[in-house]
Amino acid sequence: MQYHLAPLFCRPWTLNGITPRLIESHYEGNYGSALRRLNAITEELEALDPAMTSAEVVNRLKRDEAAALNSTLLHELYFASLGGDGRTVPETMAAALARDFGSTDRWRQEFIALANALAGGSGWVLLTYVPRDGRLINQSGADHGQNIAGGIPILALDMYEHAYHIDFGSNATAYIAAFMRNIDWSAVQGRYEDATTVAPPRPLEQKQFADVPAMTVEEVKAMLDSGDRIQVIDARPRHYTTRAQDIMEGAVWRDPERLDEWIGELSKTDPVVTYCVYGFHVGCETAIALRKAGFDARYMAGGHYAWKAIGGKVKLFE
Amino acid sequence: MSKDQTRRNFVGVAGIAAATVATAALVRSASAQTATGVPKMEYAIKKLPFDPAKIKGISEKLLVSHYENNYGGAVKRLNAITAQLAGLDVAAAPVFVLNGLKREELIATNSMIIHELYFDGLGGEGDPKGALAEALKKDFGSVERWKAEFSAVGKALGGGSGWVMLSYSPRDKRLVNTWAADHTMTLANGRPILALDMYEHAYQMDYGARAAAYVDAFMQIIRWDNAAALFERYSKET
Repeated sequence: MQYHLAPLFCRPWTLNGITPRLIESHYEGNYGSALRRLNAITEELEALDPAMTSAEVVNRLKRDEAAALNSTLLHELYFASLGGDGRTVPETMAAALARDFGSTDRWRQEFIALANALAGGSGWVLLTYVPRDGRLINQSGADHGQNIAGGIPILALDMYEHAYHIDFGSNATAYIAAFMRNIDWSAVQGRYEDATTVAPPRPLEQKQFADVPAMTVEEVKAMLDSGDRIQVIDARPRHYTTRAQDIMEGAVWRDPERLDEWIGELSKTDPVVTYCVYGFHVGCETAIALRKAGFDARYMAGGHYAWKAIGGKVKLFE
Repeated sequence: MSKDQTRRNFVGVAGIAAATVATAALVRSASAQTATGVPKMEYAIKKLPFDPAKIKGISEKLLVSHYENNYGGAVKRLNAITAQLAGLDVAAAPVFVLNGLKREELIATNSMIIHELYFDGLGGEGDPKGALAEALKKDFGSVERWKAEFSAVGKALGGGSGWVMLSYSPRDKRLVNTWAADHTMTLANGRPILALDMYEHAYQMDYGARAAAYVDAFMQIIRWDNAAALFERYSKET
């Protein structure tokens, strides 16, 4: 396959404080050469027999492919980030920045600070939409390869020295200020709107338990921390308890096979939370049985290990 | 900034640096103790070992900016990081704070050390002579072959950042060219004797994106007596 060149997105002669000479050198010398390198690597990769190639060669080619591809993609985003007046942040974008950073000003301060911290080295500062949480984040990378997994960058500031030395020497602060003055916010907002259409990663689905209410470990922890009256039942199977070393603090273990023996201990007015090892079956089934008996029962998604994964307190299981 | 101004600034900085070096070679001031009891360490900026107006192929403006902003900046940053580390309760500090400071300390320290080696290697001409030339022949086949490899590695780093170093490896008593994509990548236990700065601040101002032209210019102006002296010293260590 051949990667095709993207024409320059911004109009160099309209930029404020960044010369066409710098943009030309950057576009031709850095973006263009990344794309040419990418095509050369791709051609090499397509020609080799992966099964017969040494690990060293495969590693090198794949590493260089990732670097050249990311350089290509980020440079295209960089040139598409320039060409505006930098000031007018349209409504949708301003609201998103306020939601995730407090205000446009606070976002700007953070973005600029990240860029200044990369001065004299190389790297990128990116405003990235993270579909997992439906939010924007500023990230900095020390090379082309450091990107948020699954994130969609919508604004890119090139902090490689090739992006500013011709015009600004080592005065990165002046370059960053010039970049901010030239951001094309309507283009950024367009990309933001596209990015928000991307669905978050699909959650675990257990169709057979779709009707049982679940609680996240964070919700259970918040209830315990605030002193709410909840009854937490560790319903890990009896055969598992022989190798269980610890138990969630605030929970009592009850054998899920012998529900009838302990159901009488429970209060009907306070909610019950059940869980098992990983949160797949036993905890859910126990919650169903308790609900049938008239209890306000839910299961804790992810079970014992989810509790431990958020750093929830445990005690020795005896 | 005019050329005269740049020159004056440079002389000012170099003057201060020279004074600092004179009063305390790698200053360790015993009187200043921090709250944690760690002695206060102050790294001194070394003087530029050549007249920046007289280096062929690299402009005075670039060299002065490189010296003041990149090298000088690294030393200043290192001193700030060192002070922060000295004041830190390391046992109680969150791991990400300690990781962050130690990472930045390594980056700044190596940037300082390798920049000094880079500047020490500029301002000469011709080919290596004597024992170093013999060693290059032994380890690379010929001086020409060494040159071809060293400069090709530099050109391959064009458009990014990094270093190419000629290092003496005591393990095998041989010279190797090493590749680095940042200040932290160095040959373990290696003794670098020549460094080529491939950060874009080393050439963009003069050469734009033409990294290869910068590398070719560098290869013409190596001050070989510095590399030879270092090689002489390192190769005699047991």
